[in-house]
Amino acid sequence: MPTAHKQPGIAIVGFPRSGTTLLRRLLDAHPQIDAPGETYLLSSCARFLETRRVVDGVQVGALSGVSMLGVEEQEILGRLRRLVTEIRGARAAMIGKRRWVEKTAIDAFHLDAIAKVFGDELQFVAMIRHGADVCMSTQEWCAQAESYPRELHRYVQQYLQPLVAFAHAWVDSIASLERFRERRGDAVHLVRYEELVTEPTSVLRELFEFLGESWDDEIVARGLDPQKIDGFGDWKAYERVSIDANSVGRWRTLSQGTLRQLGEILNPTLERLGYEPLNTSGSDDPAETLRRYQLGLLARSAMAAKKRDE
Amino acid sequence: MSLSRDKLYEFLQEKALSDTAIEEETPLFSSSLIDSFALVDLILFIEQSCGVKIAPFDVNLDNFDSVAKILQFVESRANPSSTSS
Repeated sequence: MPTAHKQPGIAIVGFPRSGTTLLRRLLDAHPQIDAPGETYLLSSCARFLETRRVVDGVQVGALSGVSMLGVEEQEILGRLRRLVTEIRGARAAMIGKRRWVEKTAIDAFHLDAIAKVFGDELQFVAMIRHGADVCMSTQEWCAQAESYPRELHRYVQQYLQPLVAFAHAWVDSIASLERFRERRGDAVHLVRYEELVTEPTSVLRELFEFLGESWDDEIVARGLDPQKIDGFGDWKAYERVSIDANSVGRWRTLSQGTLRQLGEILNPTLERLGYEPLNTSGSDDPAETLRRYQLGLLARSAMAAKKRDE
Repeated sequence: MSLSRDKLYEFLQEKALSDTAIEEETPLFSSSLIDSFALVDLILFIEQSCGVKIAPFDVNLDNFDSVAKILQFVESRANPSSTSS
């Protein structure tokens, strides 16, 4: 029997489109865990701590501003922490549950600030997925939302090609997550998306052990109940009614030119995480690149013609 | 240079978006089993394997939407007289 964790809060963190929503739904199926849709509470706390550097290196923001009035930083952080834990604790109690999960896609970009506010009050579950699959899915996610999250927009401003922008963002996010794991050690449990969708039972058993919660064999079925819609989620949040590995390895369908380009950015991180690197071999001959472009136009025309004929 | 059936199957299976086994007549692009990005890779693969350049008017799904069609097309380019109508 696992030992119950003394703190009720759990945070799922991971780059958007890494499977965090699937995991949230599965945790929500536990009789003692409330894991609803996205609340933005943690990232809002992180944004509350944002500062701006001005003259002579002074950092201006809420913490420094209020501390100049004689209010201690720890007092402010404690109030922020209580705001979130009280709201979420009350909601969990309202539906008869003891623990609660926070999962918002952009939380992964604010790990240091979230840790600063919550200290040891949260158990962290970090989700990772092959970076190239993440980039493809993020591109679709942003197109569907008709916007970029602010945390990704600065990358899109810097890099003209969205997939390249997301690749750089993913690399930075993973580096931040690795530093976070080094500092927090046992408080962070790593889940790989690819393992979750191929071996859900063993991955979830291990996760519930880490959380100090019991396991039952009906959790997966309950977690994927399509009728249980609870809070904000992206367009795919409630689409999945079974666990399968269809979304694993979609990156293999990218063109060789794109694989080469993304591989140069992603491969060191992919290899460090034990993922298959992208094939960066092949020609970067300008004539072949031009031929590829020409064929791209012809291929799209051919696909459109086929659709018109149907 | 030529395009072997085994190499073609291997190439297509790697580009497929699902684990569906590809048969001789399995629709590839019209069924979305393979996407349009991979059509570019397929044509380059054929051009490099066979040492030919495929003309713009030949880039259509009638020539590339199944293993049978691809092999028939490649054969027609290797031996133009054998399939002329």
